[in-house]
Amino acid sequence: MESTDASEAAGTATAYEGPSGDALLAVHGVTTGYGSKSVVFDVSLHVQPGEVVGIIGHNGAGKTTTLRVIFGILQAQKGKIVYLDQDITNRSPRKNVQGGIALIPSEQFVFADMSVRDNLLLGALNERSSSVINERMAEVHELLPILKERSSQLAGTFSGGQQRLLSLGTALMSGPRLLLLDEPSLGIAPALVTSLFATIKRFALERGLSVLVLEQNIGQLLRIVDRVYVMRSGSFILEETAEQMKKRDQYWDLF
Amino acid sequence: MQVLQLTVNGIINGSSYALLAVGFGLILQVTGRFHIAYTITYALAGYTASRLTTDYGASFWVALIVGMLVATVVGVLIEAYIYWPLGPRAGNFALLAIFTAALGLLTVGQGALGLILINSGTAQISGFNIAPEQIGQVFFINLDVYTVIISWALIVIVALVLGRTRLGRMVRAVRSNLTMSVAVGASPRMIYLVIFGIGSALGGVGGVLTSTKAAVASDSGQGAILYALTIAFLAGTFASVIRIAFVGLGLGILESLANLWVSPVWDPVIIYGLLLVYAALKPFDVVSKFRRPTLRSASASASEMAS
Repeated sequence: MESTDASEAAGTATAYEGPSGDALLAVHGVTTGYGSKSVVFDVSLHVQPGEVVGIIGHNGAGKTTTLRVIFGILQAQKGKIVYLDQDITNRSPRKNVQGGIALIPSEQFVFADMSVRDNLLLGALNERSSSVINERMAEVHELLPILKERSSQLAGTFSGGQQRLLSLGTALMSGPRLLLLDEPSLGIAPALVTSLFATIKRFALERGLSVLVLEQNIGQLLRIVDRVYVMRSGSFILEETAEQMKKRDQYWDLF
Repeated sequence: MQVLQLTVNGIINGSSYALLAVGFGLILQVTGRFHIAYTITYALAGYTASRLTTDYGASFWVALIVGMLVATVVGVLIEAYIYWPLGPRAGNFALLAIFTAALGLLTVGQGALGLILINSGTAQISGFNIAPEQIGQVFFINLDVYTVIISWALIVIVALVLGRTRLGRMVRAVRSNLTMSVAVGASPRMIYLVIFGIGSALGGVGGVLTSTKAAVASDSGQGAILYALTIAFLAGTFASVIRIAFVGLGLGILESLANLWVSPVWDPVIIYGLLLVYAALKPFDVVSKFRRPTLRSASASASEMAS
């Protein structure tokens, strides 16, 4: 990653250049887009085991597209994606879920016409062992008791914040090692965002879960992430640790 | 006594409607495809069974199974090679493009079958001895008994598969929320193919059973499929298989009992009148079938998915 005019203009922080050799996820120079049109260019990033990494950027910067290509929903036109030392470039979402990658989209993140319990069971769609499913269900119920209390309630009748918790529970049911979160604060009351982010951080710490989270709410994001990538117009323009970024007086010049 | 006879007639016809409505309704519900070329798989199954029994001396039961398999394969091929690839190419107009393709398939298929029938002569399934049956003052034929039993057995099997298996959970996931279904690891493309297979198989069985009573024509099943469409709409966007089936049965009984007061020639008016009333009273239910975000993005995601 090269330091650009944005980092220079943004302040005195030095771009982070940490290790990427033992990364759980490493994206090398990926270009992707829709049809023949590229919208993300030569993107590289890495996520260490147990690390929470954020990507921030303006609307249309290419954050979601980056997440979609990692998860296999979009095809990489160029570059390589390595997860657990395996090349997973253009691997199907189904195989990525089986491999321990879970995605929570920014919208439509629950099965609204199904019960909470059915949502959680769908999270474990690729797990065939009923004992493993029961174990995971018990674990999710322990972490998020509301999902046990309202097991038979239709997901669509939950509030936005509760639906977010359900989507987290659903993702955990697949037994992930890497969680991809697309704008988790979207559509949630500000008061709930703090507790939601605290829950995400707790999952990462307690379960050794790696998290790659896209977010526009920088203040909240910096409370839970270890590192941040800044994206503009389809490319990363800056990479900093959360501590480095917190020292900035303002963030608007990053967008 | 007339009421009892008409009720039995309604149960027999309603069972056939239920079978077709479940097949057509599943395709519509899960994939959002307005698959009116369903008629072709229905007629093709009947035609295949008729050729097998008349030209090759196959038994009715073998012909029924082969007819069902032919319908299944044709349905799956239509989805795999026509509808699915069309989606991403048509972009925002995917639904219209797929409907137009279905209309084209229907027209071409009916034309081709018409030409074949002109050259090969009447096609009717032989090898099944149709015999009259009577319980008290109620009359029917033995084929009617098989039609009711086979239809409901298949409906129950499909309901159990969708309700109690992992495959069923995947189907419900894709139907409910395509985005999330991909996120939890379901493969929409595979599910679409499976649903086209199941739906076409049910239509194929219906086609063979009907063609045992009456000769196959190029437009065989056209009326029945329109009834199936009506039932699928009346049952509701997210109706269960059993609910669709009972709406089909109810419509069959209602249609039959209506003959107490009106001539059977008015039957289609009654059925489509119901659809018209439904569409007028609950327009959003009808429109929502074509506006679900899952419908458009399903095909669009085809080229994006690695699998």
